Amino acid sequence: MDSRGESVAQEALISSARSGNRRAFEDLVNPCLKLIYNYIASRVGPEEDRKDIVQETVLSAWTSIGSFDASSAFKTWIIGISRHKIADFYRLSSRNRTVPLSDFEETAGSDDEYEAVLDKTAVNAALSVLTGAERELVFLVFSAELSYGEISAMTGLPCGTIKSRMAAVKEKLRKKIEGR
Amino acid sequence: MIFTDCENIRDMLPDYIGRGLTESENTTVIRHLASCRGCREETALLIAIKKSVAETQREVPPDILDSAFDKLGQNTRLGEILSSGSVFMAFDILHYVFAEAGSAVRFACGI
Repeated sequence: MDSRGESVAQEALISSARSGNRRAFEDLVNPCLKLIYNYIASRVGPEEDRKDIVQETVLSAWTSIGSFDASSAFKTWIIGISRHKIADFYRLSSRNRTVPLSDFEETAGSDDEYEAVLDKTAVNAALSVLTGAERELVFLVFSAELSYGEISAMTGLPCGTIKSRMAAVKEKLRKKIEGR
Repeated sequence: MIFTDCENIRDMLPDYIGRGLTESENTTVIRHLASCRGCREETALLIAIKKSVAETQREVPPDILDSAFDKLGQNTRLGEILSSGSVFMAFDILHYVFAEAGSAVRFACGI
């Protein structure tokens, strides 16, 4: 099915889910579950907590699907719900050992060019030093493939702030990869 | 102005390597990359990050997959019946109510 066909099919599922059809809702959510799980896993360690947050996200999406106005993609909307659920989790627990979500508030060339940065080990090592908020941003940009505008809408931060934070993350990674 | 070009192009790079750009945006990026070493290096960095992030993505554990919809519970069944518009809707609702009442009684009696 082409992307237009997928979009029409998704619109039908959204419409059906909004009128209470659970099967349609499940068909809508299932393709997003891997993304939701990995997003949660990027911020929350214990598997039991991840499971609970996945369930809370799905429940919240179900109860509020009626208010989904399709001004954003469904994927963006449900990741936004996950983000709130992770924040709730940290608010309600005393297990705040990693950086909380609110820290978003703080904080084709030559072969040589590619070779210099494609050292997988160096990239992995560089990614491992990112803070929780930085990892979240990297996840939203590179894994969820959200635009800066979508991340801005989700977090409530100005688009320029998202861009400058991403620029800082890239600079941090570049320095780490180059061993500076 | 070269700086502005690079800035604009770099804003487009995540989409260029990710979900895609329009045909004209794609052409703009490719033309720019052909003549700008700095943006080619930036592209290479983003591709490396994207690959690395993709490799760390895990499949959803089976128990989380199986239980993802558990909290929706039985109460959502009513919404399903109401939205079905079935000619048997009244019967379905009665069936639902008795089934729920039966569950409550069984739960209360511990059976």
